[in-house]
Amino acid sequence: MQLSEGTRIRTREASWSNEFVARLEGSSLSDSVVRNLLALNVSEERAGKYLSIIEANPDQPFFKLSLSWARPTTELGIRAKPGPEGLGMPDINIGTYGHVPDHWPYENDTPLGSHPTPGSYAPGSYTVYEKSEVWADGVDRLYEDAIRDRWIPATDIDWTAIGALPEDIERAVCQVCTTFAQHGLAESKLLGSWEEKIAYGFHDVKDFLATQLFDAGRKVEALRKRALANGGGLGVQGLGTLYRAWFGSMKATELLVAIDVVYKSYEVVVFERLAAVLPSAVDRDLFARLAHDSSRHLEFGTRHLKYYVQHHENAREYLEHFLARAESALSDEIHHSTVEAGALAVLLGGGVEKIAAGAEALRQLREDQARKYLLILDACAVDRLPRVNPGLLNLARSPQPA
Amino acid sequence: MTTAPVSTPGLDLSWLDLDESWGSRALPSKKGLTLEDLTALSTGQIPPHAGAPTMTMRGAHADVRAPRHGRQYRDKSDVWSEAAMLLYEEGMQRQWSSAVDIPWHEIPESLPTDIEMAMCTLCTFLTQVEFIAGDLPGRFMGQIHPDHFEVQLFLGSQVMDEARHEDVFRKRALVNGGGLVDANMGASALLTADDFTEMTARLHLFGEGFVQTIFRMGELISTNEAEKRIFRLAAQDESRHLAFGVTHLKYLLDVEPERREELHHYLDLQEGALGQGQGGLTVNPATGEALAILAGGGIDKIDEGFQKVLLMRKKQINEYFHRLEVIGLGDRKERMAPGMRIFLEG
Repeated sequence: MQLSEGTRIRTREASWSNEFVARLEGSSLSDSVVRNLLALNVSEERAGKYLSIIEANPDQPFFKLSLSWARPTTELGIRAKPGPEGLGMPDINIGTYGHVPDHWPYENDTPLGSHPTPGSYAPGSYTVYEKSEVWADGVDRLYEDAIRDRWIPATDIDWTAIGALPEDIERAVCQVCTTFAQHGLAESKLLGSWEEKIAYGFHDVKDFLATQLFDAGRKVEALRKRALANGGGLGVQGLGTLYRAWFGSMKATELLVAIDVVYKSYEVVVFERLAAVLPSAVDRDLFARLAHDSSRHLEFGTRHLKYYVQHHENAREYLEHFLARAESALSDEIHHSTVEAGALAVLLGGGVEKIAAGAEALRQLREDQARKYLLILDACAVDRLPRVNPGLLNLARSPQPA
Repeated sequence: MTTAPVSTPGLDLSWLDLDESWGSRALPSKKGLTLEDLTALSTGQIPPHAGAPTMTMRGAHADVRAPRHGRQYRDKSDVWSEAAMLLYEEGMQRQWSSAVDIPWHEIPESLPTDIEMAMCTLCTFLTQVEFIAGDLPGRFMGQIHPDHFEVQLFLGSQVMDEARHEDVFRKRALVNGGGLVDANMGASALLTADDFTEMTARLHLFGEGFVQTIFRMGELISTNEAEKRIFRLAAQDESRHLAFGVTHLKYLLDVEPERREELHHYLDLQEGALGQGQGGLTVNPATGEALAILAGGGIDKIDEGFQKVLLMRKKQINEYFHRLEVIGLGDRKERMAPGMRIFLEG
């Protein structure tokens, strides 16, 4: 074997001796492997030891490395620096590793910043390749926030301190827990099933959704535990017509907007209100934690909607359909899954005997939910008020009759 | 499960009259209030055959109007693991943060380039396969019936774990002067699994088992405390995923022994893929070379490195066989793929 001129130049730059170069040319190593050794900054002494191992074991094919990975086509020399909150995902989203293209070009599991090796390219099951269909600015930070804010229902909630509650209050808490635990179950199913559809280049979004479906599972766990911890028990199931919009989503954005904007803007308001009014400090703590999680999901949904509106060429037309379906499903759920309304009215009023006050408080809650939702859309440059589902507006105008 | 009366719009207070479980309380144990603690109540009874395929939580009162979702497993044996609740709770307790729980400053800036690039090559491979290990369970979360929801919660915890693994190996590749390398074959062939039990056999039992052995040998391939911590914490997570696979398959064989040959068939397929790039977790050439350089401590000690990799391979196969014995598939020794059987001890 004779080394190519380029490789010879590199041996001189690496201060390899002429004697060693001659030894290499008399060995079974290829020019490519020698170049790879040089790319790895292996000294003459260490390269010599490697060569000796090969020469001493001529029948051992395993020792004859290709070192094909030594000269990748990727950007090297990356030294991410930890920030005040450790080494977060935003800290490594630098150089080509932080550049997320508008269209992800690879159908396999090539990570962002890497490129497929020819001959090793098997397409996967991904279907979402457009950044505008899933992206949210700052999603990497939201992912780290979710990790940082983790909590453990088994031990972080003081289950023995809930205390005896009036029967109507206890039953109402349990009914609300039953309803929202069920919503959490559906939420985690949907997000889980969409993970594999999102192309690998959008790993920040995939990672964030992993935290959300995990949060949703924790919501199921925590609310079920609450319903069974204090003598109440599970209530009546939520109707579940809400999920028709979720299961029926045909685009990633449709699902993300249905769950993380339309539904979450309603869920957050309920959880925050319960965290403020429930008589037991344990229950207030529980719902405050759930509200915090839901707010993060809503923030993601909002940022995605903003990005979608600005970057998807058909955003405004498509959103008309996405929002109409999601609003309709939510409106139907609230109107027809009436156990939720009854339980909330009892809790907001402070008991069955104050149901009239509770009904008014419920109306106020519905108004606050609708307002929050519409303000979020306003902030995303979507003027939804003229076309919002009339059922949602009706709920905000008049309390449901007792 | 009883059925609630049909309601008309308005404030429905029918839930005030549900008396069946009133007064029953789940009591916390020494690990707090766990899912297992809830099973002492009547709602903790897990039916062998699930009810209607709606979203009704087990133990809740059904609404007869509830829409159905046709893509749910109804038989407990198809999805269940007796350890699902325990493993989920353990997963909750042992969540960690790659941002702050890894002492990143412990990685010496002056690592030899062959060591640094070998680690980056291994991390590129691991960041590829860990996402597949999250995408696949995610697919099946939607197919778990609410009567068996504990399995769904466990799968959700696995998807979370795998996202963290994807992130931690990416971070390692980008923190010390290297970078990702070109992507080789990962494990996307696992996405061909079409059934929950097939997924468990091929992903949990086989694939994660092989990756787990790498993680547990992290002491051998790490040069610093940061990398050791990464592998230690990832191994801890992976142990739960493996345990889920083993306990699901064991449960299945306990209650439906007639499915033994079906399990063998899945394993025939997966073992047969070993050695081919796509199915060959940890045996694709780039990863194999990187592992050997890391295990030896440099390219000039490649002979030592390959001895250690061979030991690792032997450990992979023998640990895999041990798990088969636990499941009740010890007879697999005779039909194991020849390229694997040669590593078996005894």
